[in-house]
Amino acid sequence: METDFQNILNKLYTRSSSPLDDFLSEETYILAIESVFSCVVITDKQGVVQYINPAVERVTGYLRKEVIGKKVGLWGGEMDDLYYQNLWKTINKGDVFKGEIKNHRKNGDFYTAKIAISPIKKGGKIIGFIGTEEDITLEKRIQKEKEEFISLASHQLRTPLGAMKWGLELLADSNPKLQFDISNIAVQNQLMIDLVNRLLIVIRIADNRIPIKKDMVNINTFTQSIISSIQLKLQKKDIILSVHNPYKKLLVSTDVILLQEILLNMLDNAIKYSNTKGKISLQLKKEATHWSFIITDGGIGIPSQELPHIFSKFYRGSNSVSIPGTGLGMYIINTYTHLLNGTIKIKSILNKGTEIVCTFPIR
Amino acid sequence: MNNILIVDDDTIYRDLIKRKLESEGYSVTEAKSGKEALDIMKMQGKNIQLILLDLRMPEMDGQTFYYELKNKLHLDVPTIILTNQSVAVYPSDLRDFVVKTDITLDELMKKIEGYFI
Repeated sequence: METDFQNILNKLYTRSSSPLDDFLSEETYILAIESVFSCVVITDKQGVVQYINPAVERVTGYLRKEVIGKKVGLWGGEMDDLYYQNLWKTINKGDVFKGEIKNHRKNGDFYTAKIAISPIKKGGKIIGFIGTEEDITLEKRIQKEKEEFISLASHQLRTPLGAMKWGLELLADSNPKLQFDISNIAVQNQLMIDLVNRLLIVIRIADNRIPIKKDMVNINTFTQSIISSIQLKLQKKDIILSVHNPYKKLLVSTDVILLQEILLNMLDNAIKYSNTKGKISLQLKKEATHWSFIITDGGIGIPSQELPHIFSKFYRGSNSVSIPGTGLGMYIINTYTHLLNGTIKIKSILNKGTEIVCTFPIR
Repeated sequence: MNNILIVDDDTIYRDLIKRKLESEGYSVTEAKSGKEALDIMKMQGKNIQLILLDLRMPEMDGQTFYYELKNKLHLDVPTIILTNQSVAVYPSDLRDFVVKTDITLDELMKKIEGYFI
C-alpha cells in the first residue's frame, strides 16, 4: 500500500527540484483526507470497507469501528435497485461513477449527497474503490425554498399588476376622453409586468434552471403561429412583415418554448424599434447541418460602438431611451440561443436598420 | 343565457371579469373558493356552461375543485384556468391555461366566445 501510494505521488509530481516536493509526502495526503469536509471511503473490490475518514463519522453518525470490515452501504440502500446496478456496472468497468444519492444517518434522518466513486487499479486490474461523498442536504433545501419564494413572489407581484392592467382596460372603454393618459399608464404597467416576467427568467438562468426539452418541430407551422400572434402589434404601427420561406417543410430538433421566446422577442424588437409604416422581413434559410432565421428591419439601428454590449443584462441602446423596454430581451435571446447550441450575428447601421441572423443545428 | 362561473378569491379580479362579461351579455355566478364553487355546482351545475378557475385559493384550491367536480359530481364543464402563477400544477386534461397578466380582457373575451360557437 505504501509503495503504491508513493508511486502515484511520483507519477503526479515528476518535477525533481520543486520546493513543493518537501510538502508532498504521504503524510500530507493522509492529513488532507483526514481533514476534508467531504466523506472519503475506501473499499476492496467486493465493497468491504477498508477505510473511512472522520467526515464519514460526522455525516453518517457511524463510527469507524462500526463500519470497517463491513460491506459498504450501512448508511445507503435508499435508492432503487437499478441505481446500484448502474453504479456497480460503471465502476466494475473501470469508469468513474458520479451521481446524486439519498442515504440515511445512524439516527434515521435522510440526507442527499453528491458522490463520485473511482476504481483503484494495480497493474491494470481493479483492486478496490475510493468514493467521495458530499452532503448537499442544506443546499437542496435552500434551493427548494428559493424556488418556492420565487413562485410566491411572482404570484404576489403579478396579482396587483394584472388587476391594474384589466382595470385600465375597462376604464379606457368607458372614458374615450382619457384614452391618451390611460394608454400611457397602461404602457408603464405592461413594462412592469414584462420586467417581473423577465426577472424570473433571469433568476432561472442564473440557477441553471431553464429546462431544455427537444422535439421535432415543423418550423413552417411554428413561424405561422408566431406571426399570427404579433398581427395586432404590426397593425398598430402599420408595419408590413414580409416572410421569405422557400421550404415546404422544415423539420428541426429544438425546444419549442425557448425558440418561441427567441423569435417573439426578436420580432418584438424589430417592431418596437421600427418607424410607423416601416418594413420588417423574416427569412428562413437551411444549410447542410444548420438552419437560420434572419430578421431585418429598417428601424433606428444600434450605434456601432454599443454593439458589443447589447447582450448584457439591463443594457439599453443610447438612442432607444425614449422607447419603453426592460433591457433584458437581448440577454434572454442570447442565452436561450446558446442553450440551443445556436449563434447570433448582428449587423446594424444607425438610423438605417438592423439585421439579426440566428443559426441553429438542425439535429 | 350563457352562464359563466368565476372562481377566484380575489374580489377585484372577480369584479373586473364580471363587469366585462356582463357588458358582453353573459350572465355571471361568483365563488370565492373551490369549496363555494363546488356547492354552487352541486345546486345548479346544469346551468353553468363555462368555469373560469383560479388555482391558488384558501379553503379549496382550483386543482382540488376540478378533481371533485369531475370525480364526485361527475360534471364535465369546460374550464379555463386563470392564474398568476407561471409555473403551476394543474389538471392535465385542461388545455386552456391563461396567465392573467399575459392577456387583455378583450383577448380573454375572444377565448370565451370560442366556447360558445
